Amino acid sequence: MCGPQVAALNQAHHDVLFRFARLFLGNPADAEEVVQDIYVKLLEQRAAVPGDITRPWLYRVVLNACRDYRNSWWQRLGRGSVDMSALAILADSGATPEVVLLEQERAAELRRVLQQLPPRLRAPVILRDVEGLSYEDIALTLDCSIGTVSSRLNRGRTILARTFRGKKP
Amino acid sequence: MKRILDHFALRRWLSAYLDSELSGERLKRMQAHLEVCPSCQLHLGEIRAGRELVMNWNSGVERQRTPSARWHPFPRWGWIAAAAVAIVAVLALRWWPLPSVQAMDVNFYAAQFRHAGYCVFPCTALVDTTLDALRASPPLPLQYPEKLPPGMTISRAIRYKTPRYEGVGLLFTSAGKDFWLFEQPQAAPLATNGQPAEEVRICGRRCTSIDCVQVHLVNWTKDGLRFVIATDLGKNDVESIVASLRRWKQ
Repeated sequence: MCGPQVAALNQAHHDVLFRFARLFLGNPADAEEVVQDIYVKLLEQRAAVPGDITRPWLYRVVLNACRDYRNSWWQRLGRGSVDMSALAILADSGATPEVVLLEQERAAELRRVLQQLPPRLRAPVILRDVEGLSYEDIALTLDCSIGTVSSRLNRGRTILARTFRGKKP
Repeated sequence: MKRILDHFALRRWLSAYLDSELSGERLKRMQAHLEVCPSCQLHLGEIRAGRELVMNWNSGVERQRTPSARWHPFPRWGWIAAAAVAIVAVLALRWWPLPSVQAMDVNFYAAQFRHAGYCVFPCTALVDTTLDALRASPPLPLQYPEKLPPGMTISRAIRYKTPRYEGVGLLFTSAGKDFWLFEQPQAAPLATNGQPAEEVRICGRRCTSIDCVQVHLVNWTKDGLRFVIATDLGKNDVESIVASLRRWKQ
């Protein structure tokens, strides 16, 4: 894949790639790093690219990159990044600090719970309930059957519901 | 008996049912089973609650692309490990994995800048500029002549940085074709001069993959600079351009 193609991919899909990586990994700094790694691999032709780029292919690439990143020596060293985006939003937006922080608290809590889901349950939950993929596309992304997608969603959603049940005001 | 069999056979499809992904016979069986199975009704309620949690989540905050700050807690032994890694990295610098010349693609860098505010390796910064601005405050010891070679125009000028140095890129148009001229400090090691390169050094690293953009290195050491031309043109075209540019620079 040559530079202009990667640039086109970047322009068309960067937000989607970044959002999925952020939710899967739990913080924006790691997500940016993973997405940048994907571009570099594509530029250096270390990743095979299909003629027709589909959403399942894109998510699969990000998922693999996230797994590689999680398995990297730096991550194994236990150096998880701290998400300080609340401060950045506070600095950039016109919302009151209380509103921003409440939203952030809720978002951070859900993100934290998502992180507690095993990756095999986390991925289908994000792909379906955030990204809105069909079961068929999720199955293609995760390379499993539609029945497996459904059963993983059962378990992931149930864990989320049970975890949050005691936390509602 | 059928109810128990359905219970185990259909339970895994509860999410699919909730998401309207079931059809035909399986959908009918699920609807019939749910009417008589309190356990599956309860489970379906939990699945629905979990789904709504995520779907109702105010993703506006999540979808914002914010500048990120990061902090890594670093124990004492981590510094020792980091020092060891740094020593190994310095020693290994010469044998680092070979990047593609594609990494010099300025349009890609520009797209990166628009989205993320920074470039991927080897570019760490890229800004558009003008020839006049370069003349006024050249980042490199280079004086840009007032006149371009006949038939040439400059459609874009950039300043870029890599971890090692700062350079200038000029996008020329000549005979209806575009090509980039990159100027780098003489210290930047270049292995091949004036020929299409199968293996070259660019940005201080060896490159082996040349695809869309051919890279021609020019042994051009005026004012302490070396030059790299990135182009799809053939060898003869490049030689003619180089001769023309050499006259221009002198």
